[in-house]
Amino acid sequence: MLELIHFNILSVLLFSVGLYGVLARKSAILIIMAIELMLNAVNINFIAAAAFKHGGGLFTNFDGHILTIFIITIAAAEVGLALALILRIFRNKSTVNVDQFDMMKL
Amino acid sequence: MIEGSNNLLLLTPEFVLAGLALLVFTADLIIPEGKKEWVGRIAVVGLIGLLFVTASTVMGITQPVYNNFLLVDHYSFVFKMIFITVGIITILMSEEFVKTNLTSQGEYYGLVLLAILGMNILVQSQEFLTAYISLELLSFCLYVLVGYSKFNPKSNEAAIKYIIFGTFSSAILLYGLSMVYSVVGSTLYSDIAQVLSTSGFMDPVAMLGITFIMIGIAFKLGIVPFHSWIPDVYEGAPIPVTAYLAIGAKIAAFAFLARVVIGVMLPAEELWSSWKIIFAILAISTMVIGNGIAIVQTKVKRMLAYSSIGHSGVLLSGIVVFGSTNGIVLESLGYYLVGYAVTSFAVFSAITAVTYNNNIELIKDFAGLSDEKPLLSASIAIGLFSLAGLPLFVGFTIKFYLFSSISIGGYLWLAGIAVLASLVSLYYYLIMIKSMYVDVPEQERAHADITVRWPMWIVIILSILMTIALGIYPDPLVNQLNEISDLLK
Repeated sequence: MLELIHFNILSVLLFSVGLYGVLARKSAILIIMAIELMLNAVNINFIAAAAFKHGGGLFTNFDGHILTIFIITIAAAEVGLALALILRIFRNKSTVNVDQFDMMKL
Repeated sequence: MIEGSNNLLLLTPEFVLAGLALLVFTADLIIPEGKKEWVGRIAVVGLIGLLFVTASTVMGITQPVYNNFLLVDHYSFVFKMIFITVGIITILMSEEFVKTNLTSQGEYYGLVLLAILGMNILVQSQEFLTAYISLELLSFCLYVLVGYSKFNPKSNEAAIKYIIFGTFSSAILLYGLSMVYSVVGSTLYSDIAQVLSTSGFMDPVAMLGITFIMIGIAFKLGIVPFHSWIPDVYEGAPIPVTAYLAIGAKIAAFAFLARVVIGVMLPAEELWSSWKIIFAILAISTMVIGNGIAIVQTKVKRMLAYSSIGHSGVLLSGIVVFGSTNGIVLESLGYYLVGYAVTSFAVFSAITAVTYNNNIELIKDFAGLSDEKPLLSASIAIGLFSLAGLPLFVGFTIKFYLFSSISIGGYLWLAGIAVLASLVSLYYYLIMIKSMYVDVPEQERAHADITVRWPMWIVIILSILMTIALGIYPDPLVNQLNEISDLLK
């Protein structure tokens, strides 16, 4: 039988994979993908909490569902914007490797 | 539905602002190339009108809207007025820069307006989803504005760094929110505070969630150890946008943090008594590291970026005494933010005027400025002296108010460290002033081609006058700010 805790563990794992991706990846596009994973972990957490605890305590509204829909929408906008900015820097520097974004120093 | 809590007339300023932003985007389509400064002027006139609209519709009203999702009160009123004024000044000081340096000029002004809309909703939100959405509205505009100088690789790079750090911190904030939600079942500040303040409540998931939320906000505000994006983004952004980040976005993030602390943490006394120590440690490290690293900087924008990190630390040390004083600290924080904004505009507007048609960025390139452009260098010097906290200028009075309310709250040692940190800041501000007034320039007449038009003169002269006037006679402003301290009583 699936419990809330199983979904929470899935979400923690997904968040950790995303966190690792942000810290370890070199390509800006893959970093943005990793951030998307983190946001999806957030969505799983919200939906699972809203579905399992529905009706108890303050969980009477559909806050969790609404939050998830908003986060999906905002994440889509975020990716659009990030890809546009990555395209800009690719035109100017011909690379998306974040290690080479080192123009600004002391 | 709660009767009377859906009075949409209270949101008139936001509706007008959104309409104005769309009007500005439309005007950009109609106004021909080469006359795009009129787009900015429409925005300025609209914002000045909006000041009156805001004052006439929401002044002195305390009422929740949309079932407690938003709270229209004096605190949000004061901050709305600050944001609109910051917007007006930013647009005026950008005009010449935008004209000479940027492509697709009209949309710049529309994005500045949308960012103000985000800030306005952010300060009055009483619920994390609303706060998150308005924070993202603000951040998205800033991501675009930072990368607005399309053909400048530095600006591109700053925008990439900003969006990666910004979305990363939003993801952390949201994960914390999802943990808090799975315990509490609501995202309203008041509901969360109610659950947290149950005596003996020590749910580790909720505690970790609150920590994640605070980390997310600390990223936005640039608190050490989450400050690493600030110098790069400030350096790469077009300089009026740097000013907007350092003044508008910083005030907004701070107002949000104060709202969250007042709404969520203060009612839970056990939680707050341990978080106070964390805030104090963060404040000290921010002040020490920000001001310490600023000493070795050779570029003006990076020096100002680290100095703004130092100022975040001072502001954070004001938050530590929330709950220990009867509201006076909120008043002095409001005064500090206004004084900081005015002073920073004196510095940033003059630096914008100096740098927009030549690419100087090192501190030593400012040598000889005082002989060729005395008023510009006087503006920078007055601003820097004021930021360091010398008497006569507003920088002294704001620090005096803030540090005395911190010591009233029982944190004399914290105020002492803040005083020492501003002493250190005087050193690197003096390096800049020495460069302008004492050093001999490498080439003669290096700054000869600086032309300053009237919108910039208005900004420069107004900021100098306000820097001095608010320092000598702060009463009218402080009386206005007095009422926001009710939030803490």
